[in-house]
Amino acid sequence: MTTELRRLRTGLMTASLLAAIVAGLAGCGGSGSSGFDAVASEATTVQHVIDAGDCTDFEGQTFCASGAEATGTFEGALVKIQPLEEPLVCEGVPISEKCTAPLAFTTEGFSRPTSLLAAVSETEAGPWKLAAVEVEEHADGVGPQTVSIAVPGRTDASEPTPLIAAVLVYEGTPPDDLPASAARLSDFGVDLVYVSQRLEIVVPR
Amino acid sequence: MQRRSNAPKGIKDLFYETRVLSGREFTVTRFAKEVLSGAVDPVMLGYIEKGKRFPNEALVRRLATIREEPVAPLLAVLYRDRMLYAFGRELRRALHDPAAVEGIADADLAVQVSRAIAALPDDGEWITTAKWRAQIGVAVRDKSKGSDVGRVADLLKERGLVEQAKGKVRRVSRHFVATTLEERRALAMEFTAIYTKALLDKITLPERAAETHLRNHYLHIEREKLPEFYQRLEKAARSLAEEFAADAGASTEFLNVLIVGTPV
Repeated sequence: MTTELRRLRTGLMTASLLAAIVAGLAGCGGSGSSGFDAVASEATTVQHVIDAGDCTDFEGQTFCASGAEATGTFEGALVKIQPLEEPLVCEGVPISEKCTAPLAFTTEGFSRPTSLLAAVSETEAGPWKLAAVEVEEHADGVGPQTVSIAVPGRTDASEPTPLIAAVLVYEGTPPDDLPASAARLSDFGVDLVYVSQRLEIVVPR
Repeated sequence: MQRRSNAPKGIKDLFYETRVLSGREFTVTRFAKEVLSGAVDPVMLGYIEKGKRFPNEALVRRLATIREEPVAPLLAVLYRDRMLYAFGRELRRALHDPAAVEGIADADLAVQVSRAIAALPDDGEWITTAKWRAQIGVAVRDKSKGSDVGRVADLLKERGLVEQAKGKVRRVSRHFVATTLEERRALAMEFTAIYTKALLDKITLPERAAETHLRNHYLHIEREKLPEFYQRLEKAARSLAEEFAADAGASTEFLNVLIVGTPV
């Protein structure tokens, strides 16, 4: 065995040992809770507004169902997310792993400058991923603004995938350092959230 | 013989484990006669080990001597079990539940659920299903009931609290809501067991008093602010739990923090 090889082997052993120690130290413990009723959380708030069709405040943010008139800072404004009877159809290149489906929404009554982003999740509990949005400008500059969310899907999905889309409304401009995905919608630092009904997305075969 | 329990033990468990873990393969009859010097009838000892009868205090004192342990903690277990039994009997009346009272065993489902949730990392990291099931197994007092482990795992999966894939499991949510009659009864018994133990430890066992925190905070509050108060209390408790949660090990305790707020 050459010196180089011996050094390499020693290095690898040291690295393995360090990795084992780090793995042993890593990992955070778990905690939980039990009760006779649900804990108020962002997930239960999203669940509530979808089922009740209204707006609810949770920890300083307003969550609204599609079509419900906002309260608070954005009072009188609303976002309508395209209602769908059928699942969204994911369009994409067959060889690609990902595809997208367009989901339109309109905004009305916003009297102050706002920015719009969109996020999607499979469940009310997240995680949420930011999705691309495309604004369709009206030639006359009036009427409701129509925006389309490019809802991402996976071409290898064999069954319809559940989906909830959220329109994130920011007063002014959104924060610069937004994460691409987050456990909760509030992690996007949003002022007002509109959520769609529970939808599904399918990939044509 | 000082032992740390992995699961909440009833007085029946203490009698059973003293006989079985003595390593001398005592039958109930031999144990009653040779070790307990005929202080109890073997049939009655069998009932005590199965939780169908409570021992008297003299028998518990004798057990403490055999185990070479102080008597006060064992008596505290007996008092707690009697209180739980009485509470369980009244609870079933309140719930219009005709099933037989099993005392501390009634809380088992809720205890196993809490162990199962706490065994999963708060950050949603995947762990092996085998490791997780072993953690749930710690809370199964009767090791012959292996099906309890699968039952708890299935329940949490059905409620959307956990996600399983390719031999691994991770948490999706952290709060279990008791919905069925059995779950509500089990949770009520667990809450009562936690409170009763805390109270007895605090007032009857000076050496254990320091490891239990028991306080009543009181205030006048605007009725409409109650929801906000509870929400913030919940948030603070959760934040603390997540900050201090450690991997289970020889140096850790499974801490239960029972929070009650109610207008009187």
